[in-house]
Amino acid sequence: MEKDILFSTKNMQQLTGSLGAFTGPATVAVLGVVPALVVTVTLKLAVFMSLSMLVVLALSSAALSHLSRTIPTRMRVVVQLVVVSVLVILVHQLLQAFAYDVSRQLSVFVALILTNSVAMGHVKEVALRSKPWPSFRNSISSGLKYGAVLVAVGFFRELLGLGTLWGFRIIPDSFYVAHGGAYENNGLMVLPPMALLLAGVVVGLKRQHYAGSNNQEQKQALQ
Amino acid sequence: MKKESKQYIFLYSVALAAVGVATLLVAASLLKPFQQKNVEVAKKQRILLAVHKLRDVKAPEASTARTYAKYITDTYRVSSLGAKIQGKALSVSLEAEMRKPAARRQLPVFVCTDSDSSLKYIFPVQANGLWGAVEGYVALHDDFSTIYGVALAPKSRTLMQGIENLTLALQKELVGRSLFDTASWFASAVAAPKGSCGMREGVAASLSGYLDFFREQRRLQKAAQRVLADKRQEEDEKCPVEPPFVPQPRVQQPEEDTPAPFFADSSGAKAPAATPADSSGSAAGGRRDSVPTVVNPKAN
Repeated sequence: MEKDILFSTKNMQQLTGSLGAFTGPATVAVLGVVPALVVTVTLKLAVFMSLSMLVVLALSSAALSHLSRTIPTRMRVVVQLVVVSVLVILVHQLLQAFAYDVSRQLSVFVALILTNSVAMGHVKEVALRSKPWPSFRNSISSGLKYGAVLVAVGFFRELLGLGTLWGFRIIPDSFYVAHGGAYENNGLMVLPPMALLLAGVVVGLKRQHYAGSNNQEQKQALQ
Repeated sequence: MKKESKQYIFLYSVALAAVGVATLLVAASLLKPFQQKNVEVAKKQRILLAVHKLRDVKAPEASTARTYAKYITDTYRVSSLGAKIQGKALSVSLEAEMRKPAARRQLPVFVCTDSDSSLKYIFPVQANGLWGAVEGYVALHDDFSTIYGVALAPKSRTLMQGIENLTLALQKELVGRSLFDTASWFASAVAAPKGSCGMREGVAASLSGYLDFFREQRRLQKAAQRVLADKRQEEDEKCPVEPPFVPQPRVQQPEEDTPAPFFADSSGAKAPAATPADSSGSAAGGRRDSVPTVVNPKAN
């Protein structure tokens, strides 16, 4: 039996190779966009939400693929829910302890990872059918791709809606109308409809990109 | 044991639940001190915001602790009858106290000593916001009636701007207003039917828990003022001191329905009542540079 080396070239390619392709659950299957609408008001929230999602996805996948042979068929969904919910609560508790302000702002959306179709779909389709390490690797890849969309949307919403990034002012005060300049923040950017539009732009750009490519596999993935 | 048997499923469920519960218990007990500290810092920031000692809640933990220690000089709890009870106020949860019967409530009070040595009293409040609870603090002047500052925020901060704007508007509206005016917002908000979900009503309901305390403190203040006044009078009687003569221009004309006052001149003879023409100066032909008539209460 061939030994699976942790950071082999093949594994690392599988982990990071598709990141540039941007073929994550949010862009291909348009899954899990609900938190993308709300938590991407600022870059900081988008990053923390992405990290939370990544941790839950990776650990639940690893745990469930370890348990997959022992889980009775009738209890699969229950076990999935228990494992994912325990991890979600742990992440929430950690945020409350070490990132209190972020936890207050993310409020229910961390807990809603449990109902996120990305998490549950990934656990069902990948974790219960693969070995622990490939499952872990795959879930990290999925989490990063999902997080990339959140971060991209959060970046533009905060920059154009508030003129800041990670809370630091990027657009100088002197540019604003109030200070004699000609610039004004776009208030629509901080509202959920704009997040939907931006997420749509990301999905559209990726589809446009792949429509012109020769990669049949990627074309099929988009169909 | 077969994997699909009922016995296996039962044991598996029990084991899964036990592991899950144990994991969460350990995590909760390990993280609780950090979480409590965060909650305390957030409370301190809100308290300091209510007395205008912080600009916003982004102040670092160390500076918050320093400012709190500098300005918040006393904390205690009060019973529903307004009696002071010594004890930590910061750890009291208003939500939990408000769920108790009124007789068993112990509500926290924070005392801020300002730079000019004036005292401000800070009380926690809670209300219903748009999508969730709103909580914060209301600071009163030492007359236990006039609102000095308000700091409200959604309990779980929503990412929408609406609730932030509403709380800001209410804060601006309440500052400077009195609780004990005859046509007070407070009286009408307290009298609102139960279940009213407005923020104003919630704030008033929270403060109404302190009503007996406010009344008691106001009564004590008045009593202290009376005692002080009596003492001064006694001292004046024992060693009467002629107050310095300060000429005061008589600019207010007497009201029509009140009897015209008698003004005593230095010889003790009664002077004629002042007419509006006298008091309005040159408007009715009177001399502007004439020496105004003054009353010296000690002259008689």
